[in-house]
Amino acid sequence: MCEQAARTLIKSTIWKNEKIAKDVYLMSFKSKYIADNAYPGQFINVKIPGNQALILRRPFSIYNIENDIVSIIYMVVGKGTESLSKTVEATEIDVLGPLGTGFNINKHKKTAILVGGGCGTPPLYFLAKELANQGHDIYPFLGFGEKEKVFLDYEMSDISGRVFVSTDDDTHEIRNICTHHGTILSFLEKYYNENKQDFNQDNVCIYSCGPAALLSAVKKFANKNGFTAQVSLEEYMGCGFGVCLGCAVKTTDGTFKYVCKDGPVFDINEVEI
Amino acid sequence: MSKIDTKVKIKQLEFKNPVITASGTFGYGIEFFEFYDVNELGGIALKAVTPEPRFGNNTPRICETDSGMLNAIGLANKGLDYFIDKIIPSLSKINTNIIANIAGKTYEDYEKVADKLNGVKQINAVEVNISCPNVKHGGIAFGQDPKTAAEVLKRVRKKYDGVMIAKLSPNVTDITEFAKVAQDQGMDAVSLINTLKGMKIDIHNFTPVLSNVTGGLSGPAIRPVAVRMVAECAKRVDIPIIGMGGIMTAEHAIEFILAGASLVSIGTANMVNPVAALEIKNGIENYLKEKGFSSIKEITGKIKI
Repeated sequence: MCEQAARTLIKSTIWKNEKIAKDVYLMSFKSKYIADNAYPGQFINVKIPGNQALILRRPFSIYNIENDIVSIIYMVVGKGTESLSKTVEATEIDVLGPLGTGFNINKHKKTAILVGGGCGTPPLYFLAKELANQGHDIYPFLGFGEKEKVFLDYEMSDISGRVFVSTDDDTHEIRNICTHHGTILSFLEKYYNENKQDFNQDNVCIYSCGPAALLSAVKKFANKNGFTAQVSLEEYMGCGFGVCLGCAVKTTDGTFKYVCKDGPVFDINEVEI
Repeated sequence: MSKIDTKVKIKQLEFKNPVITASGTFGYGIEFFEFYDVNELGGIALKAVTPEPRFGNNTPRICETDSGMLNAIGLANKGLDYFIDKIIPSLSKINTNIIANIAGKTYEDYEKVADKLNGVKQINAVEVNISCPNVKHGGIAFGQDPKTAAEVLKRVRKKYDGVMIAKLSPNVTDITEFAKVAQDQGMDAVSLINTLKGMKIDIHNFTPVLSNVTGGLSGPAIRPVAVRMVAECAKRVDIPIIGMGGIMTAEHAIEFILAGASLVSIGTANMVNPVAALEIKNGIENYLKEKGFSSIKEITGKIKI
């Protein structure tokens, strides 16, 4: 397991904040500290600029690090993200991070199946880049609610050489992209059953991030096929560094852990999903 | 320039400055050393300890509201034995005052924890949490009925010889009545206010946002209520008051001190800005310097009404 990086408060300015899909934005800022210390699956806790009434920071998983530029992708779901989406470039931003325990790349399992749902997709991109660097074979499966909300499909395809995209409303037509109408797990199962010969069970590790229903379907799929899996959980957080205890998750051994510090990434059979 | 005297005392226990942290918002203090030297503060209050381990309430157990937040953590902690065996030894880095916060569901729970902490040298004071809005005894928090409040405080007082503080609930008609009860039962100080009971509803699902339905409101939204209650209690009791409720800056802390608080406690601010307590401590010193005061006592309780 990678050692957790020291935490620090970062003051930076927004370098880019632009819409990339319906209700979906990409925000970047410069931070050498985060760039040097973060690894896939970790998150940053962002103070929403310009609105004192929004007192709590918002946690976002890291989507990409390029030189010293750190990027997140977020969906507008409430007051905080709405306010952030309207924040202009060059605005000062107050960030805490990198935080949490991220993905632990399994060096012995060279086939990586990535399963992302909606705004759970971004950390899988950061992970895919690292997996590709380490010579893993990557199968990214990305699920979205509507076709207008699809993002990262091209980018994921560039890294992995393939990408599988599903939407609840319709399949959408994109060059070289396998699409599916339905849940992303139904697509994964269909694909896996038709191409079992390509997968060596002992070599597969699943990495997933998305809503609870998706993670529970991933758990069923992984356990049925004997795959190990790591999942990134989402929970309301107060602090993001393990002191308020707001983000508790029950563990399968009857105790509990905290999403912000022990996670957000857990072994799929370690926590109750 | 002469040094500003910011020392305050609760009974025999000296605090080098009036800034401490609020229970439940500061972990066990250790977590904050990555941000600053916690020993710069007057003291810290640890997360509440109960006799048995508690998972706490189900999630969601935290949510934001305008200028505030609701929490219904439910006193999550690993229990008294773990606290004694694992937490206490881990506090060796901390040489400022450590306040243990104790809670329970029954009188006996409180007695058991107070008894076990008696004589533990790393603990400089015990704060009795009779005001958690998320844990009930027969449907009411101990601190919402003067009789149960008196009874629990009387019992813990017999078990613990050191400095003892009662943490009061604002969810009552007259908080000064409870401050008086605490003083009469031999408490050495009162801390106030704990959170205000509140609720947030998800209008799309028609459900409460918190799984516990209600939670405790904290943050800047409650500050004027807290300042008012501190001012009222300061008139009613002689024991020191630890003022808290939405303090985010030194200016906010000074309001509490003027209202009559000998110490101030920083809560929600720690989560948003991990170095808030240190900034507030420095800010109070700067304020005193700029105004030409040489001691914090020159402004304590000096609101002009």
